[in-house]
Amino acid sequence: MSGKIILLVEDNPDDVTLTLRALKKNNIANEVVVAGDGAEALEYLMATGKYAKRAIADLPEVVLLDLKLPKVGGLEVLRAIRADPRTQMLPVVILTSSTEERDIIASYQLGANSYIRKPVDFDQFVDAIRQLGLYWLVLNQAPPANH
Amino acid sequence: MSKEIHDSIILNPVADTATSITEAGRQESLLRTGALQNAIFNSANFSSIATDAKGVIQIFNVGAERMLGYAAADVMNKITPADISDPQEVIARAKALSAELDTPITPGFEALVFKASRGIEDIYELTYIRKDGSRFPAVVSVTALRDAQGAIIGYLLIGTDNTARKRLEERVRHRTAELEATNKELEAFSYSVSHDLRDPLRSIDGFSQAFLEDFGPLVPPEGREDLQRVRHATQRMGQLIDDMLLLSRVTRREMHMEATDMSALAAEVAEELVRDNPQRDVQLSIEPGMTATGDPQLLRIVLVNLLGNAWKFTSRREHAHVSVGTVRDPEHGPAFFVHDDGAGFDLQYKDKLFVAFQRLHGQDEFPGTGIGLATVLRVARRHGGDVWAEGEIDRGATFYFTIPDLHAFIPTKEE
Repeated sequence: MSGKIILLVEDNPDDVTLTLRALKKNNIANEVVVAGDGAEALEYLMATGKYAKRAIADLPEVVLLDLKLPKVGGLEVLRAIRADPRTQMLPVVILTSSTEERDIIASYQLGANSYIRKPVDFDQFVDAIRQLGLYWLVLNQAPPANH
Repeated sequence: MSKEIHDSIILNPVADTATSITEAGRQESLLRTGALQNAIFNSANFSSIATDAKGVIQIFNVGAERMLGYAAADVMNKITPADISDPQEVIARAKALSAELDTPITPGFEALVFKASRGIEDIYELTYIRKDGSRFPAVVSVTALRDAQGAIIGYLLIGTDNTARKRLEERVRHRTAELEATNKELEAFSYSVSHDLRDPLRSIDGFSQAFLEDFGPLVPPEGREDLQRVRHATQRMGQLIDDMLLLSRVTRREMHMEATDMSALAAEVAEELVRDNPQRDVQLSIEPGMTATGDPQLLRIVLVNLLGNAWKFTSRREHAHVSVGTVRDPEHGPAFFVHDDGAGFDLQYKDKLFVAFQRLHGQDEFPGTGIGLATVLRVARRHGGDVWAEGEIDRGATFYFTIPDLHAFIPTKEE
């Protein structure tokens, strides 16, 4: 299970802390890269800017993507991921507060693999992260690299 | 003589002819005395303008003088009705008519009477310009005047002042624009609530739990209890936000009307309740064959709320009974109902039932946010229907709702 990287795109430091805590509680020990906004997420994925030295083929196993982000919004990040042949098959899970229909529709239209609403109740949040980790890091067969 | 009498008795046409002869006589006397013309000429509420075949004004009645501010002498034999009409509109009308009738029409008097000259009934809106330069919207009806041989000898333009209606239309447009702006604002607000208001709640709940996990053993039991209260309150607020959002979504949602199997929908909703409350013993009966024309997603919300309430308020019954069916209400006509034999309510507070955030039971008694029935009301109202309730403390409650069959008036929307 380790070796597989999770890219967490989240601007709210509280949510970052809580998500990391929830992962740890569920014994998910994978490396988590945190991008605080959409621009940083794209820099990481496309190996540009401060991530220029990163090997671009080393894609994360799954991206947990918040929608409401500074600079570049979550939907824009998703659009960019799907538009680039190097990242177009990358599993992207929308992890956000909203259940507005237009957010859900736009996310799926742009090719999100899943849409999960962060529960307010931390116990439910921990459980959501547990199931999410189990599914995307263990059960799910990721697209082959170098494709 | 006897034959004539015979005819007139059995042949109605003869009798009719007799009547029309007298009528013709009466009409003739009206025309001959000029009573009709005088009435038309002196009417202050209609402007009657008669022209010759070229459009030069020949008659300008009292109403025209009053509306347009000209004395008859100012205009007679001098100008045409085109000269007292908005020139831009006359040009536009000429252009539109040229296209419509596929023949060149000059922008001027011809544009005002062309249809009438072809025997086409013509009523149109036009801006008239008064002597003092001020303007007003008019509705003008044009008729060609013909001589005994059918040749056009002039035109009659009867106009009414359309200002009041225009003002009303303007007000409707203004209100509609205002309403649309408010709706947009509401949508932006809900969107922001949906995104931003829940985030801090998650932090409060999450870090309270983190604190309990990390430092719980160091805190006295009362302190841990306090933090549990913080968590409960947080979750309740989360529920309130969700319910408020649902209420606003019900209002904003674009309706998609279709024939809906209400019996199947009720069964589906009840199945979920049974699954989520396996410890409960609820005897359920659903009338078969119930249908409604409405938005299935919204109708589902109604049943989720009403059946959910039925489940909730019978939770203290060992064996509960819930039924869904239809009745014919003397006042409201055919109505659906959801009945339970649970806690009921005091009828004197029934007006509060459907008001958002109003509850008739304490949180510790039956939990809830007080938004569900307000949502039900809103769905029913959006369908042109209504809701009401009957109940008695400890004797159960019945909630009724109507979904009038309006599909004849509401265009169904394909998705």
